[in-house]
Amino acid sequence: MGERRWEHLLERTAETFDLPADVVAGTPRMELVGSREFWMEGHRGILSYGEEEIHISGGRLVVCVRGSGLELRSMNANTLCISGDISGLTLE
Amino acid sequence: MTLEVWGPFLERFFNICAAAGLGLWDVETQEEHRARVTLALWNVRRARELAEKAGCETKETGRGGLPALLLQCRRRYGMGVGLIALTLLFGVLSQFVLVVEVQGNETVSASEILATLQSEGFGVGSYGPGVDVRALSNRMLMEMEELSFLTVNISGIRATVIVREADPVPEVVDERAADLAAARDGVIVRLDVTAGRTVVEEGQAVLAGEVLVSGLLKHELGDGSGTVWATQQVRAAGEVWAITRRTLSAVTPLETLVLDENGAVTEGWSVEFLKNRLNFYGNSSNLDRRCDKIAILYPLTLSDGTTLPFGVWKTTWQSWSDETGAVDPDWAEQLLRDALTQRLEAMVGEGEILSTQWEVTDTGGAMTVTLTAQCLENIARTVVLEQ
Repeated sequence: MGERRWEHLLERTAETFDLPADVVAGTPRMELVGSREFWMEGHRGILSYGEEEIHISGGRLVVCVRGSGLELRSMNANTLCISGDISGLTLE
Repeated sequence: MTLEVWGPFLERFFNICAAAGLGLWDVETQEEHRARVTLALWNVRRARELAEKAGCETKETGRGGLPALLLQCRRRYGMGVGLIALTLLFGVLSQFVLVVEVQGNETVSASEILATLQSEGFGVGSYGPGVDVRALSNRMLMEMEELSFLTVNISGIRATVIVREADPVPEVVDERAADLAAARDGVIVRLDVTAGRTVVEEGQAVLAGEVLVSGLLKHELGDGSGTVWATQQVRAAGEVWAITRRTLSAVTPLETLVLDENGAVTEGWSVEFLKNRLNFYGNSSNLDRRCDKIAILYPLTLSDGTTLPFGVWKTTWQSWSDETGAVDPDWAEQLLRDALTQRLEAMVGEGEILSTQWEVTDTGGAMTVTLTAQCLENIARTVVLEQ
């Protein structure tokens, strides 16, 4: 069974049993504070970095943060925080 | 510490740093493919190695924070020792109670509670971890019957004393049978008797101790065939207003010591630390002349008005002259008149002063002022009857 299918199965299981998917399946957890701060737990690294667009890997999906004056406020192996004028979030 | 990083794959540098457990923060983009990152001092070396792996170059741009400060102190022994001493001082001081506040008191004053706490060994300067709150609370409740509950919460240097007051003890009404007797000589002008048998009348002169209203009532019983008397003891009550005469006098010397305006004024400073004083002057009791000693405390106060038990004392000594000076007689007379008037008003209470007569005599360097006053006052005094 491929890794993606296994993650998908875990997500579905978590959903069925009403369990937190970020804990059971390890899916990323994202939080947007107003339009100035974006937090992401369980990221898999930054794919591209710029002042207007930052792409972050979340495993099965890629999160694209758009805006102006974007900055990586903090980052460690599990969590990252982006600040700036955030105008849009896209999941790809 | 801040590090400038540049290279074609900055995000790769961020990712491998994060994967290696090196936390990054405050990442500022300088220009394309160039950023300034902040990271812990002990991670810099590893971060440089990782940057090299990611094909980036690095340059140190600044140091800050406590580790950098400690590194700066590496060769400055004095500063290092001072820093350690300061840290220890704060560490030790934070174990002592420096501020005590009282909450929940309504009729009992905070100063009374604090004074009792002090007498029980707790107050500003007490060692916080050594306070046995339960034992202190028990001793305080035994000492202050007005309180029904007391506890002390110690948080850092601040101690909050929370109290609840006990219900007031109801006043015991004295119902023993009693007469109303005259407290002093006077001429009765008005009788307001609510209980008992009046034995005097308006216009009558009475002496101190004379019964005014009797608590012994007599009742006539029977159907007329033979008189039978029954007695009943009650508590006489009421007011008996009479014109009284009072004489008061006061004496003051007409010569006094004066401050030596040309004499030496000595100043001394001392530091107060947890109710202990450290003087920076010699023994003040060795002064060979009598002097005035004025001490002013400049306490250390927080922005919220809380006074800490630290401060500086300024003590000033001014010598008295060996010669005596004359007191202004008018000033002395007025002083005595005011004092006597005040005493008389306190004695008369709700009554009034009808007339006053003053006499001033000067005998042997002293002034005597005598006040003779006619007053209207309530002279009734309760005297309990013997059973």
